[in-house]
Amino acid sequence: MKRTLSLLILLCGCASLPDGLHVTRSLTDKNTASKPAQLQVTAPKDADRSYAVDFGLGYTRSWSQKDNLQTDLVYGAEYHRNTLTDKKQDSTLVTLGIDQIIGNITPDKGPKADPVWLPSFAAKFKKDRIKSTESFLPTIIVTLASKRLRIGEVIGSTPGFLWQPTAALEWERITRAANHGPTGSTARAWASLDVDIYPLFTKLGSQLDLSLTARAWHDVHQSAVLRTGGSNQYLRKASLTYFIDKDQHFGVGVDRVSGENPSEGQPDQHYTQLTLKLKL
Amino acid sequence: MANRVDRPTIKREVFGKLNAVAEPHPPLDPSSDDDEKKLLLDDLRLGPTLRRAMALPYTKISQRHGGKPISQAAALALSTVKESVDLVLKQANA
Repeated sequence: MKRTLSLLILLCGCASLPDGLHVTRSLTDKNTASKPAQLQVTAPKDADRSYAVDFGLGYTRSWSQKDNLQTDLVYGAEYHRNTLTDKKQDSTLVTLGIDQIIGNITPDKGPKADPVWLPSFAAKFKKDRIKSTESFLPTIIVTLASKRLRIGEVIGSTPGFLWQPTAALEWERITRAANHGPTGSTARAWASLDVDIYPLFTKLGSQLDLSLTARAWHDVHQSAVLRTGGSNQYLRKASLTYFIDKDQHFGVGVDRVSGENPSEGQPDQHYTQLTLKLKL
Repeated sequence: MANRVDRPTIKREVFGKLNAVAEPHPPLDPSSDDDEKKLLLDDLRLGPTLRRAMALPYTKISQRHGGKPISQAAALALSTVKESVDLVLKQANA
């Protein structure tokens, strides 16, 4: 296990951007779309300094609204880069997507919808500069908010607890590979569970946050030429953060990452790092 | 030119929606300025997905006054009650 110190700059930028524009860590992934974009500078004890970027810039406009259905169009791009030798990642995704809300959680009349479904349909073009591939990646991601199941709200006080399940289907078609590399397709299903635990919610609110993510991918189908190993991939993240100020601009945290993210081209990696967090 | 809707009207309607979803004790009081300072996550316990789902009821308020819709991304970015009222007011008068 490697231990490193890093500075994490979180970019929100919501207030200063024109209408419809938003900066985020990911555009269509519901679990990370709520998190700010980030730039992380890491200084390992026994290696060169490196940096990691997870940045998405999107434009959203509401397209149609009915009594119990709202559809938003999302256009944008996201960039994921890590220069550490053993975690190299360099991918760009251009996205055209549709975000929907199915159900009104607080209608003017009639029963409340419970659950409210939040599906996303996205067509992505991915350029992976580490694998030297270009691919087309249609994706369906579904999550939900439910008062009955208490999904989407903080439960309890000491500790407070917030949970969010998500499921997705994606089909990655590699259309071009450098040096006559293999092309083909992979159909994956993935499920994710995100949990935020606020140990002192009554006293500190979300200033002290233990954030846990577990995500698993299963290759439902893969072209024979692309098969390199098992058909399952896993990603586990744990992050303990304490923001010193109430407005959550300055924080310190410990992050543990273990696993891989094939959707974003992130290779298998295992590390723990102490992080100084600066939210702009 | 469409009639402009005033802030107290929008504030009352947004507070009504937040009270219905978050069920705070005591409920948000439209006559209180202090309640506008409340945080959606820390005080009303609304996580990201519930904030996102509020885009639809906020759109209904805005469109009732002849305004523009509110996207999921805009609703998700809100962090306080005041920001919620301001956003709906802006879109209602857009």
